[in-house]
Amino acid sequence: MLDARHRAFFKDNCLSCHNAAKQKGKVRLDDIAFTVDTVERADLWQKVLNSINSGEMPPEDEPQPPAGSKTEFLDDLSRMLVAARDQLGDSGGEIAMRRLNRREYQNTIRDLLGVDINARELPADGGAGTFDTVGSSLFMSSDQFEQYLALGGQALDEHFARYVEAPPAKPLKVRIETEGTNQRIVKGLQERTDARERYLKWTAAVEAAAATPENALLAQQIRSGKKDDPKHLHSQWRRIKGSPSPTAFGFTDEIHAEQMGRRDWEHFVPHHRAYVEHPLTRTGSFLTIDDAYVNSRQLFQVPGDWPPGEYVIRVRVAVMDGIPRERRFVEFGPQDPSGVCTVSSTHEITGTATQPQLLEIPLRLTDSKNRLFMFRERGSHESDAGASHLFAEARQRNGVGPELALWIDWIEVERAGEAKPPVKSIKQRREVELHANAMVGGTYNGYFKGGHEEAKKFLETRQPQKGIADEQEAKFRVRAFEENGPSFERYLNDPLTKTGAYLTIYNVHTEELITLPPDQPSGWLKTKHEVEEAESGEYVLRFRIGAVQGTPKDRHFVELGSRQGGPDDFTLMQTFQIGGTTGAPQIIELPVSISADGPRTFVLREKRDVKLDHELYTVARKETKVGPPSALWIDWVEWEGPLEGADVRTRIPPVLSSGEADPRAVLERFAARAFRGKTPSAAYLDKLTALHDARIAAGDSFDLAIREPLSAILASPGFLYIQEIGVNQTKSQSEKENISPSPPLAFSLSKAELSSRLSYFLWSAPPDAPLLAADLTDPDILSREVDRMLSSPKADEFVSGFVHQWLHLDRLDFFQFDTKQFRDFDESTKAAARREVYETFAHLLRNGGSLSRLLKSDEVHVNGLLATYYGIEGVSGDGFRPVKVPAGSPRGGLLGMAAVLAMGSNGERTSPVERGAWVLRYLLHNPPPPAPPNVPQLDRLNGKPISPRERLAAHQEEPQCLQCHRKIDPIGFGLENFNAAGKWREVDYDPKTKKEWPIDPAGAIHNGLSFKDYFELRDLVAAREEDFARGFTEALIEYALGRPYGFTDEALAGGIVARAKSRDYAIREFVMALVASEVFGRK
Amino acid sequence: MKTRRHFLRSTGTLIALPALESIGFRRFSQAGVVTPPKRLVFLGFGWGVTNETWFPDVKQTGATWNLPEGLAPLARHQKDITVVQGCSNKFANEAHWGSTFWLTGANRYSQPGQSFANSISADQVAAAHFGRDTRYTSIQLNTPDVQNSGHGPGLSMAWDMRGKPMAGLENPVAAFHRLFSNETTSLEERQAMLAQKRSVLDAVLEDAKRVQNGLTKTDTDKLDEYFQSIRDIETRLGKDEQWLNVPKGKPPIPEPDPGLAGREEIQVMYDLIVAALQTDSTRVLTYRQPVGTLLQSLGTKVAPHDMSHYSPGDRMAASQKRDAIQSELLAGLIDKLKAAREADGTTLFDHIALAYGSNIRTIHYLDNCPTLLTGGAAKLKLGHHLVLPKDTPLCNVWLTMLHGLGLDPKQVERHGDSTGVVKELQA
Repeated sequence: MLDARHRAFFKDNCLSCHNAAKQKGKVRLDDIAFTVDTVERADLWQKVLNSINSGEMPPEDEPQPPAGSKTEFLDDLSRMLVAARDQLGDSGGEIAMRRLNRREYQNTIRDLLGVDINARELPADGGAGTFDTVGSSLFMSSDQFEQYLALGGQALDEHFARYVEAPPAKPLKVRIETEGTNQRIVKGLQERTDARERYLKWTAAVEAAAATPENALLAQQIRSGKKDDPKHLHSQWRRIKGSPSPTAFGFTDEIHAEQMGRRDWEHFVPHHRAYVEHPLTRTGSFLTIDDAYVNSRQLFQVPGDWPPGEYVIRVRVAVMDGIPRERRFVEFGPQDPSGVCTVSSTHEITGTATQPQLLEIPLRLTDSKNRLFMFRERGSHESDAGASHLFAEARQRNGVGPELALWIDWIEVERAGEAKPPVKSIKQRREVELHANAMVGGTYNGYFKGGHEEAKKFLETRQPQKGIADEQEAKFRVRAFEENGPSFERYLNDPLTKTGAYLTIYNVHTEELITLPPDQPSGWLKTKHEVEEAESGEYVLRFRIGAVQGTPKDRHFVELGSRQGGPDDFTLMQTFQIGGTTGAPQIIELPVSISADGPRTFVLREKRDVKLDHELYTVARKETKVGPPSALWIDWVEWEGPLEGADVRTRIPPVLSSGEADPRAVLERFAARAFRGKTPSAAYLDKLTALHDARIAAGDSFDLAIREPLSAILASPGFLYIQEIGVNQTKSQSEKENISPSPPLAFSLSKAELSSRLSYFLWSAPPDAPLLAADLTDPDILSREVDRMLSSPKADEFVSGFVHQWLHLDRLDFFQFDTKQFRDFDESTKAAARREVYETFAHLLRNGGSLSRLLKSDEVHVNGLLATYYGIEGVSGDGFRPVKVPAGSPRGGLLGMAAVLAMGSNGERTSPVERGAWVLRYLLHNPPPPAPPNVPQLDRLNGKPISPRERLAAHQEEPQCLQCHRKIDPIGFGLENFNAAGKWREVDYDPKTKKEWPIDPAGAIHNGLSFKDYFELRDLVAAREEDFARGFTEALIEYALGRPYGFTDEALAGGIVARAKSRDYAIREFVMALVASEVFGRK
Repeated sequence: MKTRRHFLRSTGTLIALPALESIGFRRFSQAGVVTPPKRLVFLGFGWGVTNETWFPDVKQTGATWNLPEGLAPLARHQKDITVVQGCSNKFANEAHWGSTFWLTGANRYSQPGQSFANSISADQVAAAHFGRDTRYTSIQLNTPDVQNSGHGPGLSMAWDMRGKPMAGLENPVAAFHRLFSNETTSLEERQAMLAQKRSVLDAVLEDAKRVQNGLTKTDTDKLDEYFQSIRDIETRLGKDEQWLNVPKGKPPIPEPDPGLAGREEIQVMYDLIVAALQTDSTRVLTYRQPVGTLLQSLGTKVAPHDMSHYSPGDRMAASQKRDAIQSELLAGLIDKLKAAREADGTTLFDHIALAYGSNIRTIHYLDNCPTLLTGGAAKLKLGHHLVLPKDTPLCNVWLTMLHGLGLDPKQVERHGDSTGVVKELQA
């Protein structure tokens, strides 16, 4: 409701044009109510605000309102609109049913299946200025549904790979008795015999015709022409009267008849006959050589519907007595549809006709449709000539053909033993100097030194050399060697590179890698991994590292990151402070989770902003001829896993236990767990079971078929939505039809619903068994459970999830810090600064600490890295711990935290406006309205060397700016003693213009007390602990209940603050008061 | 809905037949001389442009105007592009949301009880008409670099008729496969997969029924989103089924290399846009372009958000370089559109309407959204520089395009917060 005193302002300045009669610009304001209760009205008021704000109204040629009343009017109007937005954007205090947000989804999958999935693939939640727990802003779309289905499938695959013992697969086995092949050969011999008989008949008929008197002379001539050769006579049958055509005997012509009836008969049939008559062809088959047209390849087909996987081929085989050694080998391999064979293995046969041997060959079947395989005798398949020669040689020797050498009784294919061997934990250490020296030495000798020599040769001889095509390249290589050679030499000559590797800046050896197979450290040298591919699971990475004495302490930090892309990819995981030295190194270890498609390469490098490397290197090189000395040295790196043991995740019950085979039971059990206490319906289970059945019918094994309905469960509303319907599970028809907009029924949550609400509040994860079993309506039990939950590491999710959003820490990532200007505010420091906020809050939460300590404290929570940044002595190591700060230190409390101060900057300069607005919004609970769109930036001042205070003085020039900035700016200026990266400073310096200004922090909180410096400002803010507590409470309510804070929550918030106040504002008390409130247990 | 699903399942093959005939007929008739279809493409980016050097001089309007520095690479196409100044989305209030409302003009607070709402985007309005005869109703191209590109909430440029975000194809390889990879599985297997998919939907709906029981009105509305998602998938499956027998178009370009980013990514995506149109795989495309990786690929070290807050120096130089490269890439796309021949001898350019721009002008300004139009399909006046009255709804431009493309003004009376068409823009 806008104060009635503004009616006069409105009347004087607006209504002469925007009245019922004129309605200028189609805007009528004479009938507008001074309350904002609909979106339309809010819209109209927003336009009024915008047009006055922008100076558009009243128009320039109209009388202008006095500055004072304009400012007051705008002030009240914008405040009214802020409140209206809250109210109109609020579903009247009702908590909308919501789906799990991205964080909760990830945690819930982890609790359920014991695997981490990449939920980043899901669209980001929130982003509408509310907490990511607010249901009305959590949407669902068809694409998202598909993503849930796919992600659920991935998570299940990972779960099965890790936790479910593969069930024994249905045995698959087939045996081929090879004597079947011989029928074809017998038939072939019959055909040849038949052709022979026809040939004999035909030739007899030709000869009979030649013998008749009328042909006597002709026959005489023919015979004498070719030395009486009967073949010649046959070939001349056309000239002989009465002679029959070979076509009458089934041949195409006389040449065909001669080939089939005589040549082939004489050449092959003895061999054929020997084959067919051999007693062993009654029980098996022989492999013959390629030229013999008998059985040069023993083929066999593996059924096309067998799934891909591991199989074994068994063949009962023998070699005949007296066969020379070179004919004792069989070749095995696939034969493609065009008849091309590929030999995949060759085996020497030692079994004999009386004692054949059993040969086993492992076979991996792929998806390939080609399942035809062959055995053949080695040695006659390389060339036609070779085979003919073999045949001819044998025939000459024995008149038959090559001796039958290799005999096959039967061939069998069977699916290999299914029992997956238990995954063995492996530990693999790598002495880093092997790779490092190969790489550094190789680059030096090859590229730099070698290139230098070639280049010099070029310059002397003017002849192109290896890699040196022209003078430009030659000169470049000479210079490259002169500039970089010494740095490489220094590295290679250092005795410590014989036992380890330095981490350098810019070049030589900038990083060391820990790689899990199949990844390799580099292309220079292959590491012999103990396994081809590390199984997914929990691993630990270790490395032995020391700092180089004499190098500055602020360089004794190592960053460990993951890499899953190009050589520049680096995702920071953790930063470690190195206390050990090269003489007495320390061992650092970090657990990591390895998944099938996650990163397997981990990078160690000195903490720094790599963008500045080249500059640092150049500066050092100009001064000392070499790059900056290395500050860190690594002895070895190691990985170990997959680990079994104390990890929470290994207690995850497998979805499927060994030998279990009832799909419905499996699905019912999993759905009940996934639904967090709700019971899946029978019809639903029927449909899920049918999904399984369909997969089985399509040929899947049980263990695969069951995953389809399981992933459907993970995309079902019972899993995805936090459903709250209260104790009375269903409502009467009349209630259902009640669609009037009256306040919804406020019913109590059921036991399971209450534990879900509590656990998604404090853990962002589903309730565990003790919580589901606890009677949370009993205040003592509730209190005990809350304490148990807060002390669990799972509550870290609440700390980071809530605090990050409450204080809008996302702004920390908006700007990239200019590391030239703020050299030590790199990614590691930024991450530690963000952690400080969480760690401080978590410490207070878990140790009964007061919320007021966030405003002012004599203690900070830092690790070695951040202590170094703040200049606090005596703290080293990577764990965060409470440290007392000396009197007079600006640190202690949010206002002195680097993260908070850095957010109030643009990465180059401080932004007193951002800082002031942040303090008003989050500490003093007096939020200024959001900056109106299209307010001009102070462009005209850009690039001019003026102090920030002068720059912002422009804010005071216009009344529409003044109304907010008179509140915002003084607070911001009170923090000017901190530079853009949160370090203390006495003067403000602009590196662009090289100008300096003294800092003038004095000011006053609008309509309040004045302060002369930062310390007094901090005291004034700290005195406003009740306002701070109020703002915190409203945020907590919004986060916990999953709906925007509304006017209806006034009483609740007041009660929580009062209870907390009576206990020194202990953070735990806020939480306790909220969860014990009636509202928390209600829909 | 239940009846519809049952209908689809029981008559799957029956409905496929007439659809296939009509496709066959269309192909046949295309062989004769028939006017090529109309296409619509939107290219959007975040973080705005460089105010000082991207916009033409407001004093030079009409057909005679000088190309500003930021558009200079488009010189060879000046007669074929029109720059429109003065437009904005009046409800837009988030400077970091360069694309969320660009094509919708929605008021995010329009729905009481929700702090975020959106409405249908202009491309989807067109897709409802142009998408019936193609394999894909529309194609949304996206970038892996959403985080750094100032686009704001959304999964692509496109929002469906209920104002829900529509997913985009993350990278050139995914886009290539969607457009051109033929399934290796047999028809029967694909039919079985569709049937299986329907069974999954059927099962989750069974659980939704259980959840529905006993919900309040608000919760029922929330669960309706879920039901609607399932319904949308069913619609999609229905279309998949119609095209099951029709092989995809032969790709006119090779498969892109994986991992392309920035400049190369945009270039290949533009090639894919041309390829998709040439093969008539779809007639409506949007592309939410990368800005962060584009800057990286230009070798500048300025972060994208920092760039948008430029002041003279590195940041402004980066902003200008970005403008120029984007214009160069766009000029290349126009070259290709002009080179691609249609069956009747005209070019693809003659049958496309293309808009290029952002919801943000520069820094935090949301007025005078940079807007560049090209292509002959929407009967727009090309080669012009128009300066419209301040705060003309950007949706008026989209409405003008939609009408120009032949959408019935009686059916599509307005779009977003439009107040009418831009007469000055009509040829």
